[in-house]
Amino acid sequence: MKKIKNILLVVTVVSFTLLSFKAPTNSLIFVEAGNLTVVVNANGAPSDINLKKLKGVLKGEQQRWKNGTKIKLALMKTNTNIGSDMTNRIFGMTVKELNKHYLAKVFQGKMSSPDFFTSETELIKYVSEKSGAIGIVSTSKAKGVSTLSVDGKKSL
Amino acid sequence: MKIVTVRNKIIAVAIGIVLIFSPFLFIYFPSQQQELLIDSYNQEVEGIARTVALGVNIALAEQNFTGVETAMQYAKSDSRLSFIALVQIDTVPSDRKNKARLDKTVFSIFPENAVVDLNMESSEKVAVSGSAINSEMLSGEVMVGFSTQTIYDKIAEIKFRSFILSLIVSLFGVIIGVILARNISNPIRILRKAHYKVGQGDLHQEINFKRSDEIGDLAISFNKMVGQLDETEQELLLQKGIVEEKNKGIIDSINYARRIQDAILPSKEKVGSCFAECFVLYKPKDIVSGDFYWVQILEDRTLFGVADCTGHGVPGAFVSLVSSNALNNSVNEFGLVDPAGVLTKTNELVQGKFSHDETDEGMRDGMDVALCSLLVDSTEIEYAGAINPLWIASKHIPLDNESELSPMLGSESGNLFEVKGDKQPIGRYENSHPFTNHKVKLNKGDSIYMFSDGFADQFGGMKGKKLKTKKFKEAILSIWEQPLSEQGEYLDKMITDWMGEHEQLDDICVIGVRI
Repeated sequence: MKKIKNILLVVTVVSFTLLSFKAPTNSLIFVEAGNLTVVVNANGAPSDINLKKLKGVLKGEQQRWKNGTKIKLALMKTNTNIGSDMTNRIFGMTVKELNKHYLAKVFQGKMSSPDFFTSETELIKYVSEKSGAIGIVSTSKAKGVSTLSVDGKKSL
Repeated sequence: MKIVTVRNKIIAVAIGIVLIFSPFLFIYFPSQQQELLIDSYNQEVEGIARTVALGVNIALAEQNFTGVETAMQYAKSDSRLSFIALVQIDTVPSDRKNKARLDKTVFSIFPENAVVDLNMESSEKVAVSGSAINSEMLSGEVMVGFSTQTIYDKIAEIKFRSFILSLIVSLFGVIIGVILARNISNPIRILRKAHYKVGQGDLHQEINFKRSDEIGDLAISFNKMVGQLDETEQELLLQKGIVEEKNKGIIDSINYARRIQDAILPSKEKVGSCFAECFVLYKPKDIVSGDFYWVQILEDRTLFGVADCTGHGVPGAFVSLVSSNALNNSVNEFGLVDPAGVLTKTNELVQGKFSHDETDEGMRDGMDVALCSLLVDSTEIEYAGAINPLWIASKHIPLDNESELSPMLGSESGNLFEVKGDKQPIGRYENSHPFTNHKVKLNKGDSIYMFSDGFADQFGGMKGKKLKTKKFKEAILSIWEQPLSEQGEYLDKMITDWMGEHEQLDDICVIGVRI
């Protein structure tokens, strides 16, 4: 019985991974520095946040918004320019450090698994649909979705 | 009470079988279960480690942490989880030249406060398993530790259940054994009891139980056997009745023959009147006897003797009738008075009577006899013997045909002498010759004895041997001075005691006369 459970678990893990994997639709997006915007789902997220708190949210140190809505992280993969830029500028980490950070947090159950995207459009769509979601996209793409001011600025 | 019975043997076999299988149920089965449980548990733990490691590898490769989260949620939901650690293994330079060593550190662990020895292995308390992580970002393993408490609780439960099961099986086995033993032994006991009663002569036994096995067949055979035995017994009883009836007739005839034989024997009064003192010990083996004593009173003398005819019982009695008649005829018809003449004539008459019988039995028909003639108012006797001798007990030395006799046995009370008869019997005999007459001069108070061989040849004593002539002589010499009636009683008691439980071998006749 336990063996069957293990097999089902492995199948589940592999299925989740495959379903989560999305082929990059636009791998040539180039975003210049200073053009990152924090996008949020209107439900639960504040309209303004300071950088320190933003970092805390993005690192999984804060799990819920003030109204109790669970925070869902939606980030661009670090192999995208936006993702790489975000890692350096916002987290102040290397890609390896960020991944290991999330691994440690998820492993210990201190945070939910963040969702990584290869397409900003999909990320924005996800954020706009997912209650409590927060993500970072290039400013130019942040349209039709709520944005979060960081220290009073619309873009980072 | 018997211990080695069929019932006990069957119960012992049942207990033996139970004892053989109990260790299997109580020891082998639980140990196999324990092994299977532990193997299964280790595989389960290993599976969890692999799943988590797969999630970690995917997370690091694809930046997709969903798998890790799902696997961890699954692992954490298991209450048996002791810890689950992400171990980072780095290759670092060793102190030794050109050598490197692996440095293990805990990258992340759940629960957060868990302390883990990274080199630990599975033990009785914890099942540990690891699965490798191979990523550029992180190289190491997922190390999982699960408590074995539940497993050992299960093992203890299995052992307990096995114990209870083995107890139940043992009890069941013993109960089956007892029932089986009763099932087999009870009819056997009934059969044994019935056999015993049949052995005691009760042939009205019947086994009533009905079984389809061999014991049932045995019961049927038993009933059949008893039925046949009963029929046989009835037939035997019938035959016994016939035989008894015939036997009664024969016994009646023999008893009648005894009366006839008694008629030829002199009465006690007749014998007593002949001598100053005498005794007659007359003990036939059967109803009628081959031995007889004979007395013929004449004017100047008394002829008397003891005869031992061939055989005993009815044949001996018939021969005794012929022989007695021959003796009487020798005296009464032929006027013979000297013992030798009487015996010689008697021999002729007896041989004449049996001359027509040429068989071996006929050749043997006849008698041994010692015959004496005692003159009135005299201490001189005449004696002639066919085989049988004359014994004389005296304090003096008797003269036999003017020759002194030599004592064959002596004591302070006197000596025992023997006058031997001729070495030929009455009856057909090769080189038959006239018998020798012995004139023996005795003294007043001497005792003379004549007898058949039945006394000395009787088997008995502690060793069942013959009494023999030596003991007979010693007895005569020890009592010869006593009153003759007491001597007769003494010899009677002596031969009775000697015989004990032994059968009387032959007719016994002893005559003692005081001169």
